[in-house]
Amino acid sequence: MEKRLLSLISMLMLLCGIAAAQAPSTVRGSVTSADDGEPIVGASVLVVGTNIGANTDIDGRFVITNVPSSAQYVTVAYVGMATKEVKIAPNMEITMKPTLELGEVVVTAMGIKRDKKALGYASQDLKADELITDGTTSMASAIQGKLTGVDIRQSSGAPGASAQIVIRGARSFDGNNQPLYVIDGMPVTTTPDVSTGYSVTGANIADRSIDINPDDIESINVLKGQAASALYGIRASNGVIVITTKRGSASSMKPQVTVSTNIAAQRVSRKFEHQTEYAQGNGYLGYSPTSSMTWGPKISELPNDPVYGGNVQNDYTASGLHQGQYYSPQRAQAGLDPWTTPQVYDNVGDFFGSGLTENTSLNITHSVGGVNYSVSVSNSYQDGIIPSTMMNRWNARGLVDWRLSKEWSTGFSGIYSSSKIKSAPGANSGIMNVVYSAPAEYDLKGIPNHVPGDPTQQILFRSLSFTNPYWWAEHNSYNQHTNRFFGNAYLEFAPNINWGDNMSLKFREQAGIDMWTSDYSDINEVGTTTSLKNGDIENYGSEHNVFNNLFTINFDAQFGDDWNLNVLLGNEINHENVRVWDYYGSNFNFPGFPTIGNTASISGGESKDQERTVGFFGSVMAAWKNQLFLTVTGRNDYVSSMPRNNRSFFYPSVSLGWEFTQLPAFHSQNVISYGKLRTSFAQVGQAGRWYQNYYWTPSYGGGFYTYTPVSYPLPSGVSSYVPYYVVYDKNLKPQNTSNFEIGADINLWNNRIKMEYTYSYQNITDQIFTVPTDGSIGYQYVMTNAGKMRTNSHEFSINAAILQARDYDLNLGVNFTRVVNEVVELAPGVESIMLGGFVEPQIRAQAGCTYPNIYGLKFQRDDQGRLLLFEGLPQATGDSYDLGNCSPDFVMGFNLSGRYKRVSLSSTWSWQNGGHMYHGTNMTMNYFGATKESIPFHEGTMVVDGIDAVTGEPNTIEVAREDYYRAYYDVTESGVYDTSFFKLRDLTVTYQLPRIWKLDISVYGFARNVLIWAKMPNFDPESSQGNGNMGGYFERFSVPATSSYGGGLTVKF
Amino acid sequence: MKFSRYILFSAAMLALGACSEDTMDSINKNEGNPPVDAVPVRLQISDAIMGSGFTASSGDYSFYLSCLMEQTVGTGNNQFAKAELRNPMEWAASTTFNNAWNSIYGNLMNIKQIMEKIEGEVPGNVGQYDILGMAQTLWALNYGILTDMHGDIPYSEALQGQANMHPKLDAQADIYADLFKYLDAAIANFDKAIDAKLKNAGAQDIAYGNNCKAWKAAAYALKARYRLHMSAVDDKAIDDALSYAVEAENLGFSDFNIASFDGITADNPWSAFQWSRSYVASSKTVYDMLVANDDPRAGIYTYDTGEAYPSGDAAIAYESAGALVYPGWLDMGVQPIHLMTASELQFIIAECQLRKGQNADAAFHAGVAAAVEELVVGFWEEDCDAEAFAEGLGAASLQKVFEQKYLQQMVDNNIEAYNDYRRCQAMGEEYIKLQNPMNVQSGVNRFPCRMPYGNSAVISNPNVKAAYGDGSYIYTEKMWLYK
Repeated sequence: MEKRLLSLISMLMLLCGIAAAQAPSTVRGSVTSADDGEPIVGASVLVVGTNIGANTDIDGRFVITNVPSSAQYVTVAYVGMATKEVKIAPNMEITMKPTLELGEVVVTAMGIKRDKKALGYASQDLKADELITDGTTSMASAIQGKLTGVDIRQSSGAPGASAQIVIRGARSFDGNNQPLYVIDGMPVTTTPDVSTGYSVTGANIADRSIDINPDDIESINVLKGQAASALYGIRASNGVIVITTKRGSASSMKPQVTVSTNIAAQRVSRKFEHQTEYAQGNGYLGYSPTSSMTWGPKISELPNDPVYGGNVQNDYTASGLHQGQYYSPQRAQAGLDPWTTPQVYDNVGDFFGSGLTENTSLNITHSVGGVNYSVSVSNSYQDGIIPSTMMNRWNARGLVDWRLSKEWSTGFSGIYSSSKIKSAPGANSGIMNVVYSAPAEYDLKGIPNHVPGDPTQQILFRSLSFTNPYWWAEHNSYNQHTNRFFGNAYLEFAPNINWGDNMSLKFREQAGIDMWTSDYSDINEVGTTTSLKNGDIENYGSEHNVFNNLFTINFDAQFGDDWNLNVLLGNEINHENVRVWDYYGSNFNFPGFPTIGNTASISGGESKDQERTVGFFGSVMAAWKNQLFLTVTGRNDYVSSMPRNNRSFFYPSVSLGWEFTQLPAFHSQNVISYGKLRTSFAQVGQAGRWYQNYYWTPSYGGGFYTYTPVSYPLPSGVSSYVPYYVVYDKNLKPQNTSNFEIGADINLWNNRIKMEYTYSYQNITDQIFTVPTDGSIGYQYVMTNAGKMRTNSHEFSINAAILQARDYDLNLGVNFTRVVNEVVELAPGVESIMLGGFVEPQIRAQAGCTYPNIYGLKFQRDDQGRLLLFEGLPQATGDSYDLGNCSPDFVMGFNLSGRYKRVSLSSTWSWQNGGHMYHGTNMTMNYFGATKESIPFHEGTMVVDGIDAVTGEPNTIEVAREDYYRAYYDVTESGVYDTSFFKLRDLTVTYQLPRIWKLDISVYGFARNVLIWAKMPNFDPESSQGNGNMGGYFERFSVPATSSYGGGLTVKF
Repeated sequence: MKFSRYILFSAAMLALGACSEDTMDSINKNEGNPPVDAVPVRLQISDAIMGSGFTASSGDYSFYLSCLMEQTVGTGNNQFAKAELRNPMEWAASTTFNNAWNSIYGNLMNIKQIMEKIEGEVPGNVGQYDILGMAQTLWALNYGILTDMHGDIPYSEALQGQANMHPKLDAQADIYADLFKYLDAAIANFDKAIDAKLKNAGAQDIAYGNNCKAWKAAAYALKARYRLHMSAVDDKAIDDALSYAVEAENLGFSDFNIASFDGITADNPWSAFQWSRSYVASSKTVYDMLVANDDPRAGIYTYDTGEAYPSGDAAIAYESAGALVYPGWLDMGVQPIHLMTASELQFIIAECQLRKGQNADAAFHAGVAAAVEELVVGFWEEDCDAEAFAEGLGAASLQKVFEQKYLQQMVDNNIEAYNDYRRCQAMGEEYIKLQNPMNVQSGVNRFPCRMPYGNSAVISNPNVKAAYGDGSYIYTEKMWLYK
């Protein structure tokens, strides 16, 4: 009844409006701020349905002439103020309110839009202008530092580098912990096509969130708790990231075109400084021009070296002394004058060039005759700091929402992405070790990287088990190429039902597809290393086809003044087809043509896989007096990837929100402007990937072998099958996560301060994982349910509008996250499981520790913790131990932004406290005597502080300082570093130019990752190995992180 | 539309996608890999043989023991530098032989399933006694190596998958007793196969090309090897070993080898190891022995340079990988893996004959000649009269037999060199004088008397964890065979 009355009144008003504006006329008025009554200068006033408009002058006044008689409304827009649509009237007096005061609407599960206050769980959303999209190409860096409860771990600053995004800690020991992404209503895969496994060889492989252009995003809503995501069922236990792409809004009656471009230069964020005093070699051999280490004599003393010095008689000076010089065998190999004067080179600085990132996008949004559309095309190009590494991505996107009639509406959304990436390897395949360990006196850049006339004969300061990085950049490559399309079309039917005035019913059918093909090619040219002397190539990839159908029925009703009801029923079908292939060719027939067709032997294969999930779900939300909100949901999933009779699972959730400031008691005060308590409980699960036990064709590699010496078929043509090393439990059931969450939202002083706190407890049981077993059972792993994990997390955020005025404002946002993710137990008898790493050290999940931890050899110590020394030197334990938790104690983000008139400044800071990583590069460079820290240990002897393991007495044995330093940095414990850091992630200054003709132009400059204070020496802690759960915690010759500086320009018309 | 129509429409749409368990089963079909019973045993036996060579006889045990037995010198400033300097971090760590542990038990699982498919008459595998005999022989070989390396190991409760995740340790004596039963069963099956002229494996048998007589000889040869291992604990061991060895010889035992490598796309593990890491160099201990007898193998051993390096020297251990001279055969990726050589069989005969007071010259000379012939003439392609050299060594003695056996073992039978060394020690004899000064450090023994258990067992099987402790037991607790 009320609704009818309202529409009647609006109809009447509409008629009045038409009556008042029959002939072309002039509209005038003024715009003032609701806060202080001051005039707003430069607000744009546009007549709806036309492209006629004006800007307000210094007194906030505007005049628009030639307004057609049909015009009814104007829209008024100004930065920081809520855009307003006002009916045309003589001498309009328009007041604008800051955006802060609007009731927030968020997109929740299944695209349901809700008032934020109606939610019984924490939800955090980011709008386009809060994302950092300039000078970066990745989703992860766009949201880093902005969210609570979300851990974002970048692998490096390389083009296309993967990132791990984990919400409220891990739930799976060794499986997927990444959230589900839903883009415009469609689930979209973001996990990498290929896992880097134990991440000790090869290059990083991008995760598939790389296909999303952060510039296309209108808003991101993060559903953190399981109650928020339970409607998505089995895939949602890791939380959901709901992304809405930019679309035409009702206010853009004329096409609005946005062109933006930005360009940035990258440098390595923390450059390793090699010591420049001592030369290559060690205390036993003296100067040794093939040694990996720099424990040799002083560089200045090289001319006096008995073997290579030019000042003394030796083999090389037989035909005459070379005073002040020394003989370099590599220079001789390269055809240069072998005699060289000691000199110091900056090999690290020489190798890392300047990177370049360029983003350009064109976006058109328009709303015309019931059709809203948005089209964009964009390109991101990145040149890495390592020669030959790059990324080039093209995105095209189209989106249409079409209201066909009062009852029917339809639309579609589609995104195409094409990306090419060239990356550099880390760890055992790395080139960084060669760059960092290059002796200061060796001219890595200047001495040719191969013998003149023969590119397959490398020249390097150390053994050719390693590759000269310059040679690598010229000849070898790791290539990734993906073409992807994802999108969906929908049809909505909201029948005109006559069940009562306050009831509405809507059916929605949406079908979509996510399909992509990824091609990877790893090329090692002829002459790469001694073991790859003839080169090899691996071409692999996958083709994915994911069909998704979603049908929902939504029923809304209001009963009396106090009760609102919303019921949602639906079903979802998700079917994925995957084809993967892997072809390996070895021994190129001739160099310079590294294709698989040019190899002497090719092996490979391909396979297909399918997975289907069918879900049925429902949700009921009841609201009482607009202050108490109860939501109950349930979903039942059937999944193909589980054993027969264990395929069906039910997941419930219940949540309650209470806006207590609706109580009369709060009406008479001005301090608390909004207050809500919320609590929820939910259960969701995760399915495993179960198969009938099977055989496979093994091959021989790994361990000491840096290639695969034997694979089937053998040269004789014989092939073979053996039992696979994982056995599958036929009683496998889904793992279960129970989540309890409680929190409060409180806004103070007219919403100028907003605070949110959430405590969440997750209890994860029946973990599905490949339980490592004693190999003597005949298998190395059993895929089964075992283990428990629990997570306590505290999230707190405060956003304060410190200053607020028409011409200036200052806002501070602080967020705090503490996640304690404990491994309670693993399988019986299993104390830890490996997530990645070498034979030793590793990243593991260990019972009784937080997840994950570093596991390796530690120093032998006595009861009092003193080092136990053997022959005067520190000793390692025989076996591996927990060496520290990886995840930080807490993480904080600071967002400070301000504006003065047309200039605005924003900055994002991150503080991570606690947490550890294994930093193999620091440790090895110490062991090699390459760090500046090692300088005091290059000469002389010492008595190490400790207890003699044999006598039990304090040590008295004198050892060479070098021996002590090497013995110390030979034990993994010495390579474990605290990862605490404080970083300026982003600083952006924007200037909004006064409107020129029809153009709104803003220019900006930014700096990323420029200030770093870290406990760890020499390197940026945000660079590591791997694209899986170990990512962020294990470093060994990884591609470094970068800082960037740049600027850009956005033009709107 | 009426209310009821909405309900009907809703119900129909909501029921969309419901499907049966059978449909789900067919969706979940593994298209990449065959199910267990679809694979015939002849396709399994090839890798059963390859695994016995690549990871059991050769591979990590062989690499490390070569360094321990001073048949090569560890270098390259990494794991093998630590091994060379007898660092407990390398020798006592359960991670060192984890790959070998897992792979060999994995191979034994394959062998077990071969036996079960034949004995259980799974269609397609019925009556394949030739392959059954091969599997039983390989069972004895693999378990023999495992217990020689680690002592008491999971045996009676092993290989049961999920049914027993924590198998107990069986006593080495019991395991040894059982291994002979397997070899006897194998011999009986080969007899059946010979009678029935079975050729079920064909070229899939990458050791003997389905020659069951050759396999029968190999089973006897292995019986001789493992019976001889017991000479310190069983008085009858020598007699038995000799009779088995003679039986093997009479059956025409020829090298039990895997010669599947072409040195291009398939490489011998030792070559692959050296090409990957360059962690070994020529040892002075070996070279001095070669030079003392003017042995024609001195050339190939030092790549014709005459350079060899002392054991346990830090300067050598810390040398950068690839800087030092190493045995020439390591660059021959085509060389076979020797599971057991005809030369070893002759040395077994010679030792037994000497211990029984018999003349062993013929066997001794034949053993030396076979070893020299393969290395010098076969690999180094040098002219050499191996038999004349062998005869030039004069009459057989235990000292000479063990010295020459040690030189034969240096290629890839380093496990047997370690077994012989420990067995002689247990019998109060020492023929090979190890030179590495790091074998004793600060008066503490740093020469392991066994290899540590695999890490997978230490961290997930409480029975093994208890036996492993902190790993220092490898220096103190001698195994039953070599107490």
